[in-house]
Amino acid sequence: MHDGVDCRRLRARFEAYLTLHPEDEEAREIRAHLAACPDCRAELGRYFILERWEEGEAFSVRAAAGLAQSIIGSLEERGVTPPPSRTAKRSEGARPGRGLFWNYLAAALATLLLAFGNCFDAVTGLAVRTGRLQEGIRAIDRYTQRIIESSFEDPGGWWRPFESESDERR
Amino acid sequence: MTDAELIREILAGRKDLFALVVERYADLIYAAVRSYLGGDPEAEDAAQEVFLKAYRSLGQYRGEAPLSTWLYRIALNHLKDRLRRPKPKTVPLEAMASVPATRDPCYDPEEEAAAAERRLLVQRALAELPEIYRRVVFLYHYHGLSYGEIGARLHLSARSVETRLYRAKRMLRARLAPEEVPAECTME
Repeated sequence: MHDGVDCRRLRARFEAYLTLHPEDEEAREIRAHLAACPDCRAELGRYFILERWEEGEAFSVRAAAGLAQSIIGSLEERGVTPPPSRTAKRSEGARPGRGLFWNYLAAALATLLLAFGNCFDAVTGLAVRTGRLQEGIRAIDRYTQRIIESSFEDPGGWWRPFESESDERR
Repeated sequence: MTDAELIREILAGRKDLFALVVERYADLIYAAVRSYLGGDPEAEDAAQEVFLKAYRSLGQYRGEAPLSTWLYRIALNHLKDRLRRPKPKTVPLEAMASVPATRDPCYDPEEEAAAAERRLLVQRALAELPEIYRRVVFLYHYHGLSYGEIGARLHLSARSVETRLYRAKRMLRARLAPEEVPAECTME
């Protein structure tokens, strides 16, 4: 307890404090308490280890002096090697400007191919469309011809009534 | 030698230079793991594992974030895996000797573990924030500075600080929000 505030309850609300709107009543309460309670502030500091380190704060707990040597020792012992860098791999053995030339050539070829493809598509498309139109006209022609022929062959064809009517008139 | 130069040299085969990386960032990584793992031998062991992991994946470091942030994230990810790992049921005698005779009646190890995992989640979400937002959150919450004071430190207007804080909080909320349960799962 500090200033009549239960520190334990308040610490459980740190996550909310970090995400609540600054004007929120609970956020204001926690902020006011933190300004007066060094223990709770230290507890909040556990969320900000990286930022405190960046600020140059000297931590009370420090790594053992021999840590670096023991790590290097275990690297050698295990024979661990880092995977090659992506950027290093890309630039390895490359002559300056050589990669750029191939990039430009590939881009030019791609553009030509695209342009040729578009022209080809336009020409073939027109041919196809013209062919289909001609075929359609021919089909209509054939169909009309068939109707006329079949009508004359059929004795009860559609022209009969007109024919008889005209005969009667005569 | 800058961090970028150091990494380039290490990747080119100067394995011994990794000792410099460890020396530069040992305190940071040690403090991060120590805040979750109580004992010294355990924290040292974890710090060593973090640096070994970093060494193995050094080729993947793209230099977008400072090396300190990159290593810190590796440490937090390592801690996440470590906290989830089931703990051995047997307790060494040396550890038993250090247990105080009187215990806090409110102490609940399961509750404590859940709180640690949650804190780690928040810490990871904070570490993933872009630098410009992370700094504002830190100065506002940890140092208790006003918008104007933060603005003076970071050469920003008070209004920009407020906007950044608002955006940072929105990003944090989005990262910390529990995954939404599909409607069909909640229906009887």
